[in-house]
Parts: sequence; structure tokens; C-alpha cells
Amino acid sequence: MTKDKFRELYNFEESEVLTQYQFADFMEADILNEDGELLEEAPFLYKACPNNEFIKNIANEKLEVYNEKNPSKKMALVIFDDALAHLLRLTRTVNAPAGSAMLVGVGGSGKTSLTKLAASICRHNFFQISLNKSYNLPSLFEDVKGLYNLAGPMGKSVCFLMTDAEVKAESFLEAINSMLATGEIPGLHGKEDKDLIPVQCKNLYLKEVG
Amino acid sequence: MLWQYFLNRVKDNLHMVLAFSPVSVKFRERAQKFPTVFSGCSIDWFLPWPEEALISVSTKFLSKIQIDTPDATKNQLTIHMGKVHKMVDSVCGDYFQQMRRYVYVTPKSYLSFIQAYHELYSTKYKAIDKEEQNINRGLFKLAEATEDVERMKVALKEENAKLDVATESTNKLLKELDEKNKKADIKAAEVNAVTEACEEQRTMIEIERDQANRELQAALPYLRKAEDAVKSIEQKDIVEIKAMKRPRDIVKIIFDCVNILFMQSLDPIQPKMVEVAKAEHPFIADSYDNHASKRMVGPLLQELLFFSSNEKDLINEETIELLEPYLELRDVTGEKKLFDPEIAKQTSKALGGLCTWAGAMSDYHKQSKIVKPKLHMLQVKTVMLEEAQQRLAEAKAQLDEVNAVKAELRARFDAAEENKRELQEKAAKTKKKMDQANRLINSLEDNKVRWMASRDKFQTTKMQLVGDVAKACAFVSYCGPFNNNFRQKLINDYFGQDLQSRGIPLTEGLEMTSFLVNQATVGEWNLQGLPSDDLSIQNGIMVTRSTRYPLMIDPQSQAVNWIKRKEPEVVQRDFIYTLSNPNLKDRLKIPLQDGCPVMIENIENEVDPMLDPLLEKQFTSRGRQKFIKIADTEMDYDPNFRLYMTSRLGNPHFSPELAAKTTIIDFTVTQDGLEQQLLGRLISKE
Repeated sequence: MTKDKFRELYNFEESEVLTQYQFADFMEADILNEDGELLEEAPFLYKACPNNEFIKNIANEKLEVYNEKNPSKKMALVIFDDALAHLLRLTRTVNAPAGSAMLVGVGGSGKTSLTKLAASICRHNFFQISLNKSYNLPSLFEDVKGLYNLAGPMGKSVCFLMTDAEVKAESFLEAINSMLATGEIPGLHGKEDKDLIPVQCKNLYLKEVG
Repeated sequence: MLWQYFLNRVKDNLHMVLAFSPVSVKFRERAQKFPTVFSGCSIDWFLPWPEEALISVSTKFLSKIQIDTPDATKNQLTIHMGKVHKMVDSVCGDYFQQMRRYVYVTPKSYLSFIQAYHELYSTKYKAIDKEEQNINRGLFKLAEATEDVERMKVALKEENAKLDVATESTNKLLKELDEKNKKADIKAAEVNAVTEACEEQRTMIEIERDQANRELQAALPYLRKAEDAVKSIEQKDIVEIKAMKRPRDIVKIIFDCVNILFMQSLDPIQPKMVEVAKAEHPFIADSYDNHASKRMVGPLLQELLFFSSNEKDLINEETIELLEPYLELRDVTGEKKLFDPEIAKQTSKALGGLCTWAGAMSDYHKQSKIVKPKLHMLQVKTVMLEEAQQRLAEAKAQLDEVNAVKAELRARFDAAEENKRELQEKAAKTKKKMDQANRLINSLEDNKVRWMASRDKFQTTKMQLVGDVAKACAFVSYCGPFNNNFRQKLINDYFGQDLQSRGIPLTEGLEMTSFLVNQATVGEWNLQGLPSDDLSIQNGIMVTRSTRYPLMIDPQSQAVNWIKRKEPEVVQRDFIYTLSNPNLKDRLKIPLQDGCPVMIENIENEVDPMLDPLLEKQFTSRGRQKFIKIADTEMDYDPNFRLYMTSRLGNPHFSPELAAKTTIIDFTVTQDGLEQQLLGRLISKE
């Protein structure tokens, strides 16, 4: 549909309409030295893929990397075209600053697996709460606080996956709601934290802002 | 200020990914309640997998599996698998329309379907392959045996021919041998006769010789006597006689005798009176003066001795005749011998000796006269004997020769006989072997026919396995939540027809139950309390076959009763829990470790997400040991662990997630099922 609009409105030539291409930002390979040690991680360059097969192969490579890193939780994903599109969308979203995603689909369609793969591709710290009977809001706050610490002062990218099953109470979503809205969750940080955290961030701030 | 900076950083770096299911009502409520959750996220809808996705997944997984079928069929199979999923998906809608029951299929079911296909196909294929191999081996052996028998028949014929030749040659040899034997026997008889004759002759000769010798011995004393007599004569006595100017008549007579013995000439015989022993006797005139006196001159004694030892046998009849009158000279009365050494002694000592000698010589001759011819005969006979013995030896040599020939012949015969025997044995052996092989072939003839038939069938069976397994797996993976009618419809109208239309070979009218389990297992289940109607048995198959843990819709407690008897440990060790059990996690630890069955009862629409890792079988393995992490607690996992979940709800609404994680099986009794169950009971009562 987009394609048609482009053609109609802007009189683009068929060749200029690029929607048949997939776009991805993880096509660059890591720069390795002779010994195979990582010198520099591949930059995320968002660009069009030459073709579907190419990006599919890369995605499969990334999947292998993931499986090597997590030998106990191997994923036997089949990255078909549809899944690839989802994966690309997911990486695109998650790799953007403040990018969050909501995956909607019936169970077993590979949402969790794709998220894990996407997090691995984007070199994010993947987090998922591990549920038990006594998991409640304070437990969630505890976990989220840890994530804040990672994301804030330590400056690490974090990918936080939450599934239907993990929403044990609507209050969980409330917290997420406010987190997404303002970045702040009421009741998450106590007074002490509010004093402590700015101190931790001071140097960073000075470095960045000058 | 800094706080805000911190929050911004957090916002930038903390990426939220929410994975929600659109099915539950909560989704809508949440959208209303928490607008930012929805507006703050890029929403990505995961639509049901398109067929292309399904196909590519099945292609990917099936490419790893060896399937004995042309590539085209395999491709069709992958398409069929995708189609199956789609079809079930659409049937779910119908099912809701008709039965008001929610059934969901998720890609998980699809993956489980493919996995089940893989497992079932390889087991079935291996089983058939093994059977085929066995039968082929059997057939091959049979063919080999038949071939062997043919070969043996030829060999036996050859051997028999050889045997015939051998028999003939032995017979010929035997005949020859018999001839030779006969010849040898004749020869032997001959030789024996000769031997006997010889022997007889020899004994005869020996007897004669003995006799002759004895007689000779009898003559010997006379000889000794003569010698003694000579020895008794001394030279001086002879001189004395010589000295006699006028020798007495007796002297003359005796010397005449000596002369006669020496075969000297005498005077012609003239009657004359001689004086002996002072008496006159008419006798022959002596020739002493003319002849005998000369005797005195020579060494008379030596001559006498020489004569008695060497020339005694020269004495002949004439001499004795001449001598006779002298020796028989008697006195007037005719009673007293005048030729007596005693008388002679009176005249001279030498004369007595001479007298004795002459007498002895005469006696000796007389005696030897008898012996001599005998001795001669004996000599002749001995020569004859020798000759005979020589002949005998010759005959014996001949006999030996014949015997040698015979022995040689016998040896040859024996060798031939041996050869024949060997051949006979060989032939017998071959025959025995052949008989055995024949017996084997005959006894297996029935099997052979059956085997041949099944061998031909194997290829088709193998070909059809592709479709059969697909159908069976689709059944196990998808049909659980449906009732009997829909199951039949799915299997026959949907799966079967699609398979057929795609040209995937499959067995016509495949019986799910008999394909997936054998009769014995079904019987066992029935004994354990599983109702004997089709639905229940199908359920039983799904419970045991499914790759995911079963979740049973069981308002009538039929499943519970069955499981409790099928897995007695559940009751014995009290592994029956409910989700509301606060210590469920800890209670699971021991059965997980020991690989025991566990039953969770009374599930209502949802399952505690805590169990998700278990349901999804998220095992980690370290070395040989497998672990599972349930709610942050790592537990040992034994592959024998089994989990059964039951729900008493008549029409529960399980979420698609749950449907993905478990195999939902509807144990609800239907009218048909009930009828069949009642029938079963009736039959068992009768």
C-alpha cells in the first residue's frame, strides 16, 4: 500500500520504491583480529538488505551465535519470511532509544524466542522475570530496580520481556504503564535512592553534557 | 535535574518487550486501563503462521529426517503438514460454532506434530526395515538352500557315477583276486603235497639212516675187536712166528686167512690134513710157504691197522667165501671151532691176535654187508631228499611269488575298496545334507509363500508409511481436544483426503488404534480401567504417545481412574496434587528426581505459569544429568518423569498458550462412547 502511495503521490519509479527490500541494522560483521578476538563490535548501520536470502542467512548466523552462547537453551527456530519480518521489526524497535515493543499473538508463535534472538543481536542484556508462586509487586520492583541500575548509571542496554503469564496482577502493568509514560514508577525508588542515584550519575552527566 | 537525566537514560536504555495474547478478555481490558502501555510500544501483531511459514518450518525439519520417498512426495508431505495445521485451525472455528468449545492450535502444536512425525516415522520404518531384512534374509537363505540342493543333486549324481566306477573296478579286482587266490591255493596245495612227500621221505630216510647207523654200530664192535686184536699183537710175537722154522699148521692157516683178507694170492686148493690142537683135520693145503711167509717181511702190524681202518670195506663176498672154510674149521666132532684165538694163542700170542683180527674182519664184513647197501641207499635217498627239498623250495618260492602277487592284488583291492567306501560315505553325507536342506525347504514352504507376499508388501508398506505416519501423527497431535465425530471427520475427510489429493501414498482405511498400539496394550489398558470404546482408546494412545504432557478434560473421572491404575505409584507414593497446593514446587522435586509419574488434578482453565518450564520441557543438561529450573530452583530431572493433568470441567476454556504447552485430550463421555462402553461391559460379563 505504501508502495502505491509513493508511486502515486511522488511519481517514483518502480526501481526507486524500495519497499520490497528489508531494512536491517545488524548486517555489519564484527571486526576480529587475526586470533579471532573481538576488536571492535560491529556498528549498527541501518540499511537495506541486498535481498531476502542474505538477511536470512545473517539472521541464521546470529541464531547460531545465540545457541553457542546459550548451549543449555538452544532454540531451534526456523526463520521463515514472516518470522524474519518480525525479527527485523523487533530489532529496529528495540535498538532505537526508548524503543519498546508489544508483540501480540497467540501462544507458541515464537514471540519469546524472537525477542531473545533480537536482544542477542542488539547486544542487549536480556531479562525476564522468573516466576514463582510468591512473586509479587515488590519482587517486580526489586527486579526493575536492578534493571534501572543497569540502564542508568551503568549505561547498559536492557531488554525486558514480559509475557502474559508473567503479569500476575494488573498492578504489574500499572508499573509498566507509568514506566513507559514517564520513566518513573511510583514507589519504586525510596528517598535514599533518589539521593543516591543522582550522585552516581553526576560524573556521567558532566561528561556528556559538559 | 540529574534525576531526570537518570530517568531519560533509563528510558533510552530499558527496552520493554511485552508479549501478550490477544485471546483473553484481559487484553481488551488492559488496553483500556493502561493506554501508555499500548501507545508507548510499537505494536507488532503476530498473526497466525501463514501456510508458507508452516511449510518452510516443516521443510526445514523434515530435511533433517531420512524419509524413504521421492523428493516430490516429500515436498508434498511438507505442504500437507502445513495444510493439516491450517485445516485444524479452520475446524477449530467449526467446532466452536457447533459445540461451543474453544480449541486452539498454535505453532507449538505444529512443531510437536513434526517432531512426532520424525519419531514415529523412524521407529516404524526401522521396525519394518528390520522385519523386511529378516524376511529377506530368510528368503535368501531359502533360495540359497534350494540352490544348494540343486548343486548337491548334481554332486550326488557325480558321486554316484564315481561310486559305480569304483564298484566295478573293485569287483573286477575282486574277481582277479579270487582267481589269483584260487591259483595260489592250488599252488599252495601242490607245495603242501610236495612238502608232505618230502617230509615223509625225510622221515623214512631218517628212520632208515637210524637203522643203518644202528646196524653199522653193531658192526663197529667187530672192528674194534679187530683193532684190539691187532694192537695186542706185538712185533716180537711176529718176529717169533717168523723165527719159527717149521711153523705149526695153525700158523699157516691163520696167515692164509690174513692173506685172503689182504687179497693176496694163495696156492691152489688141495686137500691136506692139518694138525690143529693136537689133532688132525682134513683141510685145505696151506700156502704159507709160498705166500704167507712173505707177509712176515713187511711191517705187518701197520698194514693190519691200515687195513682195518681204511680197507675194511673193500672186503668182498669172494674173500669171505674163501675165508669161510678157515673160519668154519671145526674138530672132528664138529662141535668145537678150531679157528679160535685161544687155540692160536697157544702157539703164539701174535697168532691169537691175528686170529681174532681175521675173525673180527670177517664178522665185520658180514655185518657191514647188511649195512652197506643200506648206507648206499641212504645216500641215494638223501640225495633224493635234497632234490625233493630243492623242488619244495622251488615250489615254495613259486608259492611265495603267487602269494606276493596275491598280496599286491589284495592291497590294490583294499585300496579300491577304501576308495569306494569313501565315495559311498561322501555320497551318503551329501544325501543326508540334501535331505536336511529339503526338509528345511519343505517345512518353510508355507512361510516362504507368506514371506514372498509380505516382501512384496514391504515396499508398498514403506511407501505408505509416509502418509500413514503423517495421518497418525496429525491425529495424535491435533485431535485430542475434539470429540469423536470431529476426530473422524478430521482424519478421514481432511487429513486423508489431502494426503490422497497430494499423491502421498497411504494405506486405505488405516486404523489409527492398530497402527499406533498393538492389541495387547489396548487389552492391558482396558484391564486397567480404560473404557473399551474407540474414543477412549484413542485418548489412551494420545496420552501415551504425545510429545507434550497430557491435559485431560475428564468430567466423568474415567481418565483419573485409568491413570491411577496404570501408574500405581501415583497412588502409592501420593503424587496426586492440585494446583492450589502451596508446596507444589517442593512436592515436584522428588518425583522429578526419581522419574515417577505425577498427577495434577482439578485444573481450571489455567495452569500456574510456574510449571511452564516443565510443560515446555526446558531442560538443561550437564553431562548426563538433566536439570530443570522451576521457579528459580534447579531440580534433577529423570527422563522417566511423567505428568498427567486432569480437569473436571465439562467445557473448560484453555488458553492457546496452554493448548500449545500441553496435549489437551477430551475424555468426555459421548453417547456413542457410552453405548460402546456398555456393550463392552455386556460382552465381558457374558
